[in-house]
Amino acid sequence: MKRFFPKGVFLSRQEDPDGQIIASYTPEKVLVPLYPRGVGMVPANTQVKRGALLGEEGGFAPDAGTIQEYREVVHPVLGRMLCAVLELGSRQPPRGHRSSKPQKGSCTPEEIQKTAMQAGIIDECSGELLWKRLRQMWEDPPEFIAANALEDLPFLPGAAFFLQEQEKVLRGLEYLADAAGTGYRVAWNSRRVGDAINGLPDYLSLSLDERYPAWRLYQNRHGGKSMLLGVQALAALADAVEKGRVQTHTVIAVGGDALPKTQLLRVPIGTTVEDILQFCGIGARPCHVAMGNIVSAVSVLEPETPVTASCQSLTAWNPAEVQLDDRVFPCIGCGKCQRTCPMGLAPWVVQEALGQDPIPQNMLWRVEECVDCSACRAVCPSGIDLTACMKQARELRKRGGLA
Amino acid sequence: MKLLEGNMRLIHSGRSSAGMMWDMLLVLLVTSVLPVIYHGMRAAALIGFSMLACLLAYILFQLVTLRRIWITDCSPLITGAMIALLLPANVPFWVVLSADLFAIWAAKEPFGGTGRNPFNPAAAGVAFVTVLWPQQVFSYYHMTTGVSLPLLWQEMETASSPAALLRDGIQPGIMPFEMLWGRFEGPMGATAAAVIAAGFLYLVIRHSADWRAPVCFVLTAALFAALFPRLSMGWDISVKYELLSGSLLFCGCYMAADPCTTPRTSVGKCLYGVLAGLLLMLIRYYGAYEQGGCFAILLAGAFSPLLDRLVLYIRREVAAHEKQQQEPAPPHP
Repeated sequence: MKRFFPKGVFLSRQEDPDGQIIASYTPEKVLVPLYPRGVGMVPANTQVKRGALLGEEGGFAPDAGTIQEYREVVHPVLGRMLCAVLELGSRQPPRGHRSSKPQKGSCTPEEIQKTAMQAGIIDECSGELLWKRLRQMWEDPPEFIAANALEDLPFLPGAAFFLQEQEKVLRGLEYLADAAGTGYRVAWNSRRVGDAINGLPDYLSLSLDERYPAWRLYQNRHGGKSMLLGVQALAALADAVEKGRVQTHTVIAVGGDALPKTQLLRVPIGTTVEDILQFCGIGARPCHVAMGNIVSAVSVLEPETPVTASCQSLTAWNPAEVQLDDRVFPCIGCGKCQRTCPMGLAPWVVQEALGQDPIPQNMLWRVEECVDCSACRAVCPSGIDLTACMKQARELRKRGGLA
Repeated sequence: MKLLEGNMRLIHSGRSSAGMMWDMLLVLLVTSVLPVIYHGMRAAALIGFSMLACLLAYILFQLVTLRRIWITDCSPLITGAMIALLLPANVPFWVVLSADLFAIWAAKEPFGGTGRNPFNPAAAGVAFVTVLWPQQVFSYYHMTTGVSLPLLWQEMETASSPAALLRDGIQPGIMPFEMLWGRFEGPMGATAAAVIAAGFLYLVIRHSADWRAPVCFVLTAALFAALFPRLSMGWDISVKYELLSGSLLFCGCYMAADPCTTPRTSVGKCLYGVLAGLLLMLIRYYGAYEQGGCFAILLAGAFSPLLDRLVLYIRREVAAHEKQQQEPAPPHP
């Protein structure tokens, strides 16, 4: 039955970033975010080398340059954070403090976790720091670790990144799996990754559904414990383990109809949205800019917003395209949200319940199981923001308004 | 570069509500082609008049209640076309107008307009005029006499529709081919079974309508006709004539496909279809009128929120039961 009435949603991938990753772009100035908060910063007007630690708890100089000042920025995804404004000078080759491949079986979980922490690696899949995810993993070991080369949404850089940095990603996976004593696989759902994976051993390939959210649908069907990690984080881990390098760059997909074409850019972490869009040819036109996963993208209002390692895509849209959806019809009751929801929830019931006073608690049934994938919002023909409804309902439940 | 704030729904799959409605309108307009060929300009005038009347009634209501008029919302046009297609070609214009005004001013807009109406407005309009003026609604002019209909009303020679003959237990003498293309007495848009089925198929393929309620509706009606035939010729003849006569197929394929007034859950949609199909056949068998598609749709519509609640309640209970079984029993003190 499930095969005939599949959950999830098929989102067209016409706007796939197919080309090569462009790595030639370097901005003049970056706003390096200092995670998790700014303490023990390097004083302003100091010259720093490539890879230098700017704050005590994180933030690395992507290239040699001068620190101008420290500025507080309100990031649309991460909220308020302190950034170091760094004027970049000449390009330096990447450096690390060692250059040797560790022997197989020599990586201990503690070492790997420490390396990930020191390199400031962020898992772009979850947006969390990699070492925190690793700590979770040691506590509750999964059956296997999967690298995320999925393309269930447009504007995802993961698959293209995997194709280009395949060996590095696999090495990163190998180190992790070695330390954790688990298996490892590559999760894919597009033909080009499938073709590349054909040359690899069979046990590596994990072919998933093309429908969004592919990973959640896989977990629902097969159960079991498994962990999905971003390919960029894995490549950065390989670099950190082998060469002692820190994560200073990220690959993002830049597209949208306000730009001439979709491109993949390798940019220093902290590059501003304005610089990236200007490089891609936005010109002076007013546009809507969205950051993050395309189905649950948030509006960027400040041009000087820095790009972080967890930001996978940046899209710019002409006002006309966005305004078209401006008329929000009431719920017409098609029930598509319920048929799409990978968790089998009924967003339309929640949306209806939130419009009532007092809110009937039995209509908020199971909302805490929502995985925030926004598939309901993507299929709603009336354009209702069901993601926001589900979020509001979850918060209501959490605050203890439950019966 | 200036960054704007706006409604950020950048990607969506499938159809928009407005697109679904335009699809429905297109299907209704295609369905109107055969009536215009059969009945001449009067059919075109009736359909156009009805659509215009609904649109004006909608605009007037929005103006009086100081609400915004949406151009992309073509639902008044759909209601207008449906009403005209469910009435005979020789119906007076004032009957159509009354149905239009009742549909928009009583059944739809007071409840909040598109998406919020509890009952199908077209079904409500047609039911309203059926109750008030059954003579006008059920009198069909004799199509085979070869007279062309005048644009304005004039007394015509009338004939019984197959639905009326079925009620009296007489087998209608119509060729199967003509039944398929709708060249017989009946509501002008509801007789061409082939066109209606094609239109429904188009809606389903375009994801503009859900197939569950209509399919269950028609299957239930067919099953009922097969089990309790009104004709003595056998169950297959009974199913053929019951399904192809009157407004059954039109109501089943177009009205039961309306997402607003049918349940939201898949199981609910199926139950709704079964209920509406059953009600329709009961009205046909025991009711005063020869056909009751609109009444069945309205009655089943009243149950659709209840059906949804029922389905969700059962799902909740089943889930709670499963959870209870999974959890180990608390140890005895």
